[in-house]
Amino acid sequence: MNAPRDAGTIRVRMTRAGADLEVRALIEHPMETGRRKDETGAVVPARYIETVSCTLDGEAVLTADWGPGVARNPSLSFTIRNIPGPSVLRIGWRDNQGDRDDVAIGIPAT
Amino acid sequence: MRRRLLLGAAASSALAALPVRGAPPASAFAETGLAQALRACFGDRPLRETDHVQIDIAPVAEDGAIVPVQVRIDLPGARTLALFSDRNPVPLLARFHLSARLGTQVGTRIKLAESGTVVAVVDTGSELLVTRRPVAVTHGGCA
Repeated sequence: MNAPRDAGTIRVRMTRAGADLEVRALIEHPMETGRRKDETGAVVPARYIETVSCTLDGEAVLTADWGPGVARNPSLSFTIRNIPGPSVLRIGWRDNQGDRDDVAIGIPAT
Repeated sequence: MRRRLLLGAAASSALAALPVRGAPPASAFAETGLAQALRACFGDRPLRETDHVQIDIAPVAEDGAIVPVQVRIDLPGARTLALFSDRNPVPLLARFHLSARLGTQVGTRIKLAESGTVVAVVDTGSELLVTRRPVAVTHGGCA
């Protein structure tokens, strides 16, 4: 379960607003609560993202602890103020089953 | 250290008053009621109502499985934001660790099991500030 997936699960949209950067990350993930039953009546095991970390040049900008109450295929939107210049935004997640993914995006200077 | 001792004393007296399942949850994301989830996150620290934290959420959610929510924090020095739903099996939805680089808004999409109240708590380090918004849910979100 720890192996990275073939295709990325994280899509990031970014919009410049002056020196600020608006970020919206969309993550492909089932966010199973562990209470849902499948068509055979079997309980679908809990599988949800526990942590999302967003860093800019290695510095934590936003870290989220999530539970099963975050919606399937979750989104996370936020703004980073005063982007200093060319930098690297990294967004990664880890779920309760140890699965994970991350993406690094180069941000050009304005 | 002194604070921890005081909290410990408060916890054990609360325990004595509760029936068998009174132990605090191992995780703040445990299946409990809202009051217990708040206690798991913040101990016995008091909550103060604020206008500096605003929850932007539709008053009526057609589909409780996907409810967009955005929180605007108009406060210097906010350290964490925690979001709760009083009617979900796991009341704590998400907790965000903020930073000085961050703008004023954080948004995500949550599940709401049924009509109830969404609660946002911001910890400034010295204070816990709370805002609440009622949401009517048309179809529950299997939360």
